[in-house]
Amino acid sequence: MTDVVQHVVDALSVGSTYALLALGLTLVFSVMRLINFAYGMMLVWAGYAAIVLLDAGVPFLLMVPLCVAFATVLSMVIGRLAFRPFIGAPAITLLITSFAVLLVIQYVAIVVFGERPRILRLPSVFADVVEIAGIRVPVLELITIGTAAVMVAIFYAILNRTAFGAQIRAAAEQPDVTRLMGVKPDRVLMVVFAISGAIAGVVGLLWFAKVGAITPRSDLDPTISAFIALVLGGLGSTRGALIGGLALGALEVGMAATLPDGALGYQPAIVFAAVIAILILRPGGLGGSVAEPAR
Amino acid sequence: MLLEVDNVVAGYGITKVLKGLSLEVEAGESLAVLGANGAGKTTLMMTLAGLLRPWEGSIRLDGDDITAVPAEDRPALGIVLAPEGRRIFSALSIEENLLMGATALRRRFGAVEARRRAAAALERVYAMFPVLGDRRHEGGANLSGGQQQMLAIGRALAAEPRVLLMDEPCLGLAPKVSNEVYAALRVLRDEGQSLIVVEESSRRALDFADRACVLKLGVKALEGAARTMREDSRLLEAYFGIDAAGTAP
Repeated sequence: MTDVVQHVVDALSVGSTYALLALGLTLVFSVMRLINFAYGMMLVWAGYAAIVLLDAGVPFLLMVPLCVAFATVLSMVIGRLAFRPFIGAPAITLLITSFAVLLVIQYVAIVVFGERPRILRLPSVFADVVEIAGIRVPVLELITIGTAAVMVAIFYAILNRTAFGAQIRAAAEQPDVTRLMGVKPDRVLMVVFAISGAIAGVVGLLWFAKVGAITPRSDLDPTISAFIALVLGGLGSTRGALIGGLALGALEVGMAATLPDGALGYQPAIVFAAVIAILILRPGGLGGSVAEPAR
Repeated sequence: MLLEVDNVVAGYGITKVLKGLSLEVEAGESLAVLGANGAGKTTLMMTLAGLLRPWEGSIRLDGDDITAVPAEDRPALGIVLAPEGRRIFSALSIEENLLMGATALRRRFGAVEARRRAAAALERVYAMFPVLGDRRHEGGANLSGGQQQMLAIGRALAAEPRVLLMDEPCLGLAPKVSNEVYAALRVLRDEGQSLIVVEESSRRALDFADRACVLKLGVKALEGAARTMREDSRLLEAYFGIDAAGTAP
């Protein structure tokens, strides 16, 4: 029984980071049909920012907001310089642009930080394990789940309770009509890139706190997981992003817990096979929405 | 003159749709723009709203040239389009749809005054269309076609238009519902709202408007007081391509 609870906590911790990443991606996709393969690189840059700041003696509690702010601004700058000029372009143009952005910011990272792994040294409390009702839970997992829950709540509050959020939802549905209401498309775009960047900043810290080391190519795992979560949940809906992220987390942790030892090495392949099976059965994803853009 | 369209040429890609169109709307006046499919009615509306940039010619509001003002800046000037097909936001509640319409008030009046005016606009729309008030927190997708049109009108009104542009407000609506739409437009007209309404074929539009013009292949084929045009056989000729003797082409 305690094993099951422990696995659920593991799954929530892993799944909630995937869900956050998928939310960040789906938000930008819904407004400009951009499938952003450079997103994982945002996490990497947030991680490097954390290392640089900590090395410079910035206290941990100040480093966190600075890192998130850095990722937010970086995302807005990239959105403004690289993606905004292609607004309204075919999805394939945006997709290829995102690969170009990925390569550019990856090679800048290689030039600046080198190919060797850099270690993110966090206060020792993050490595601790606490025992709650007989279940041993890593502190980092608790922090991850708590942070993700807060982030999701803030995300939905912005989207559903603010004028900005209404503008984002309206622009995702009918961008031209939104302009007729006097909403500047550029501003919606910048807000969306800011939110998605802030999410990348937070997830980047959580992700590399867990992994421990960063290289300029560390973006691959989070990018792939986020896209699987996105497709699994159903592209373009925030509900789908949440469901897909949590489902992928559950799938990974469930596989790790139940597969026989000999099969553990094949876990990623088995997870992907399961994802393919789910998509054959439910092509629109678990979230139930259709992948087709509204218009 | 409130709104002046001077010799506007506009189109899509290499297709020229409006071929030198001029028209005017005075403050408080209602203008019906009629024409068959392809006459350029929607192109005219898109050009007035700023979604299309004219190739030639100019658009002036109160004498100021606004030809180059982009679509998102026109509501703040008071030019507001309720587009063809209603195009309400189904992901937003009725109230959020109306508040979206009020977005431009902020730039026109400042934040505090805009909030007051938006609240007043909501009350006004709910008084005009009580069904919207009763269901204000419901999603826009659940409304019938007629109710969606009312929401589209309300959303445009929330911007406090100086010129309200209505593109085929009765498209796809039952006759009874169309009459209700025009009853609402009549109330607005009587309150002094300047408006341009575009219709393919509508006795209602002629009954309603002060003045009417007929577009044919991107130019103005006929213009006059709506009342006299209703009785004018030249209208049929210009509009349906039927000659005065009544023989079909």
